[in-house]
Amino acid sequence: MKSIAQRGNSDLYTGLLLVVVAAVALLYIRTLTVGTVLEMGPGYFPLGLALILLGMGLTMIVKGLTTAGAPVGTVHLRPLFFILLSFAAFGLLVERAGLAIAILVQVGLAHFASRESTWQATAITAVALAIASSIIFVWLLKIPVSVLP
Amino acid sequence: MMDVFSALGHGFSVAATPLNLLFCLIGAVCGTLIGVLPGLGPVATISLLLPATYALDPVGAIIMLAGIYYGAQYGGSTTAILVNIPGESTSVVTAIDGYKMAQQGRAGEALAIAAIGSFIAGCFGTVVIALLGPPLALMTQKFASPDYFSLMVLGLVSAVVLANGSAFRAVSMIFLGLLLGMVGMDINTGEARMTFGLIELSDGINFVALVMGLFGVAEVISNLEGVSTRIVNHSKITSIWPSFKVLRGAWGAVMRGTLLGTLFGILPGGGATIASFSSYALEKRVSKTPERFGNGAIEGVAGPESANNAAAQTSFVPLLTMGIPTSATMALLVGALTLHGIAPGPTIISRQPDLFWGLIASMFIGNAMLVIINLPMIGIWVRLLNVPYRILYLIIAVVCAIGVFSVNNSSFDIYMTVGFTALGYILRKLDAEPAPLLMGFVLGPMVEENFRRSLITSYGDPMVFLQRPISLVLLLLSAALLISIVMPSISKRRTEVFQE
Amino acid sequence: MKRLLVAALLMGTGLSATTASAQEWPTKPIKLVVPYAPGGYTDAVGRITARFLEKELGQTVIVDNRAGGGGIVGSDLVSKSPGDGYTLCVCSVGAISIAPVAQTTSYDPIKSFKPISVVSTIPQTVIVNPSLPINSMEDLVKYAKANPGKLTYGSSGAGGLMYFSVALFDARVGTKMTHVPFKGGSPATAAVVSGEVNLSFTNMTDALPQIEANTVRALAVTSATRSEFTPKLPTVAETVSPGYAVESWNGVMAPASTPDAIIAKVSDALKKMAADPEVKKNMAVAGASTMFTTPAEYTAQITREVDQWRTLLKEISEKKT
Repeated sequence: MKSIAQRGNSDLYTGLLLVVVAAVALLYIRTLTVGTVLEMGPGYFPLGLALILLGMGLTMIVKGLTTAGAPVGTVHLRPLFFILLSFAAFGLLVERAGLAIAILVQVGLAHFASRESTWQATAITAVALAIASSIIFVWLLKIPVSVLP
Repeated sequence: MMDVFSALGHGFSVAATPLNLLFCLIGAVCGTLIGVLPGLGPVATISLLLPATYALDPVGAIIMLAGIYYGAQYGGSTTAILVNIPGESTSVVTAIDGYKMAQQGRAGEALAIAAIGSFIAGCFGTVVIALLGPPLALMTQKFASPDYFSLMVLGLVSAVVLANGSAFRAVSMIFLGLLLGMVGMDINTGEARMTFGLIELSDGINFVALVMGLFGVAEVISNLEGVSTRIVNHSKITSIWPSFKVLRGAWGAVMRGTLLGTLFGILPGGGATIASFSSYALEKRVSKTPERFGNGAIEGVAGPESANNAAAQTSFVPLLTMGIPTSATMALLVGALTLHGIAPGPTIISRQPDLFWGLIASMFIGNAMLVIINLPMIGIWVRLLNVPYRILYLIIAVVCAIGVFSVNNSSFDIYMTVGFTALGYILRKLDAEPAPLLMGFVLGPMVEENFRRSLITSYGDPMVFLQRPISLVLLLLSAALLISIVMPSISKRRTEVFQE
Repeated sequence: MKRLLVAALLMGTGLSATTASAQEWPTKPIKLVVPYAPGGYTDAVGRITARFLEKELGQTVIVDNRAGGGGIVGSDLVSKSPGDGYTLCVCSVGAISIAPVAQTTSYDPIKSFKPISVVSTIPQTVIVNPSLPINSMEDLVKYAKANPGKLTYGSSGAGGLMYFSVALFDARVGTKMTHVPFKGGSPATAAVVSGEVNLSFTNMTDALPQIEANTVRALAVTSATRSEFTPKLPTVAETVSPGYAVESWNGVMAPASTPDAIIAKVSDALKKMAADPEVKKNMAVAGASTMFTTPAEYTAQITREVDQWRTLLKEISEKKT
């Protein structure tokens, strides 16, 4: 997978991020009672915070558009994608298929995140982790998951 | 005063029986080892090991469980320093400079300072409990919601100091954190806020899921990006032991951190967190070379680590003197005592002198054990960094995943980690620092809760924050700190203007 | 016809399989879900129960803390678990009798579960800060009526039993007190000790040590009968509000699809537990009374409570409008 080089500067994108978060929050806060300073409803604090965040985000966007800021770091999709996927797989499997399989699958997927990993080393690590975790977490610490399905 | 010493002597006679020494050792070792595992904090550990103490007598059990708690504080800094995964809010700041030190090959130094600072702080905190426990507990009784609100404000202002880059960005991150902290049920009305209909979010976003995503897992991803940005930690480990010069440099930070931690640790809620954050802010303020902070300053590890260990000890004060648990861990110890047939309350010192003084004596013993266990282990930890990263990252990923899961036994929290990892990665690319965000997240709900409660109990009079002396002092401190942050940038701008 | 026969046959084998497994039950570790964080009162009850069941059934019983949403998350999980007897919960009044009425839950308190037995009950205790000139429930009502809205009470948050017990009290005796929510029961109790709030209806676990140390003044208990731990304290019902009864319980429940044979086995074990002196002693430390009810009695109790809270909520919302 190729890495994507981003243009623009970090102020602009940080601003955009904050504006998006604030907008999503505001969308949700609409349903909450706001109240007054002296009798605050559940929406009072979130609304205030979201508005401030929105303001700060817009300020950053303006700053980013008008001045040349620090460049944005290069985004590498390969490690991002596979690490996230490996965690999601662990979450999906740990209660359904047991800890051992969840770990094997997670390590197998995480393997692709690095260009330097070798299948042999990954396989050994995966098995070792599955065994060690089963002993430590399930047998000794008794976290409520089963090792096998 | 004499009473205290004879009582403490009695305590040592209780704690120093071979069996209780063994329990203390087991607790300290378990605590350290599990504290090292990210996600598995003292709460998870104590609840997991609680059944194992059923067979013990109450004093032995509580000595062991307390050992797990402060042992975990020692161990908690290890992953923060080595791989940038703070397991708890108190070690978030340790990660800032500790991890930088590890990248520079100074992991051993950082770990040693953390252990030594923790030892000094732990012992000092214990002395304070023994000598001043009951009067200090009375002091916490003087704290009411308005005072807590002002304390949280001070904590938030300190969070601005944490940032290395622009203060404006740091403030925006704090607000982002505050907003994230609002997710969950509103305790005043029971209404769900910004939970998107997910019942799993009704108690708010899981802190461990957030912190692992923003720090640990995002760090793994950026380390995997290419050879050039790979961590260099195993290429040049310059020293395992701190030199005398380094120790001297850290000395002041340890002392200040200890005092801050001792004081704030007694306060319920965010006491320990605020202690470690404000210790960092303080060190950066008093340092003649604040630019070193964020780039591997030893004081940035020594101060907060001492603060959080002192706080770990003194957080026992409200529990042991008033029977009031001030944190999840303390609540768990109440549960443990209950299961052993003891109801902790204001009468615990007079009714259970063996337990009270035995526990305090065991804290001295335990802290000594911990520093003895931990210092030699530093060599092993540092060598862990010699494991090739292509294997190490797999281990980190698995341990993080299990760690997040084990907090609530919830797969949902793992999906949350996935989301926050993505956010953490984006923030990293944008050069936005996650530490102020976390501070906002931790303090946000408490700010709101105490603000609203203050207004209810004062029947809607906002002047209450200025009328209460404690609150007023804290607000003035916050204002002074804020001015000291803003002033340099204003004067800098002035000089720039003049130059033009 | 043929298909029907096959289906019947299959069902028959399926049934016999389940009854066989029900007879052998338990053959593997049992998960006892506690829908609250470790360390709380329900957790203590859950652990006492787990410890006894482990001895009695000869199988490991793992306590699985699934905190969240005031017990809803864990209760919801149990309602959706397979009814094989290997997932049980120590549920509590809040998530079972109150939450389904006060908010929306994906489970029905009656239809989604098979209640097995209440294992412990614990009254709320009316405690006031000792600096107030209030020495009895009658004083409290008089004071509250003379100063409407001025008395503040601490609770563990809107929607919790501490809040609802005062809301019910206000509705019954016609007082109006100001609600001050805290994050959990023990900070609310601590606030009565420090005087930040005037009073609270606190559960016995938190209240008892403070009452013994005279840091708070106890006025009454909220249960229908006096508590064995504070025999001198009257009930709210016998002082100012006849018929008033609020009691927190913890009970073992199973998913609705659990076979009756397993329910009976658990019920037998819990009956023995209620008579066990060791269990009684440990429950007493937590301020709880050990209890046993048959599944039928338990179901009836939940039905009754759901009605009570539904009526109260209607009263409150009518008063507001």
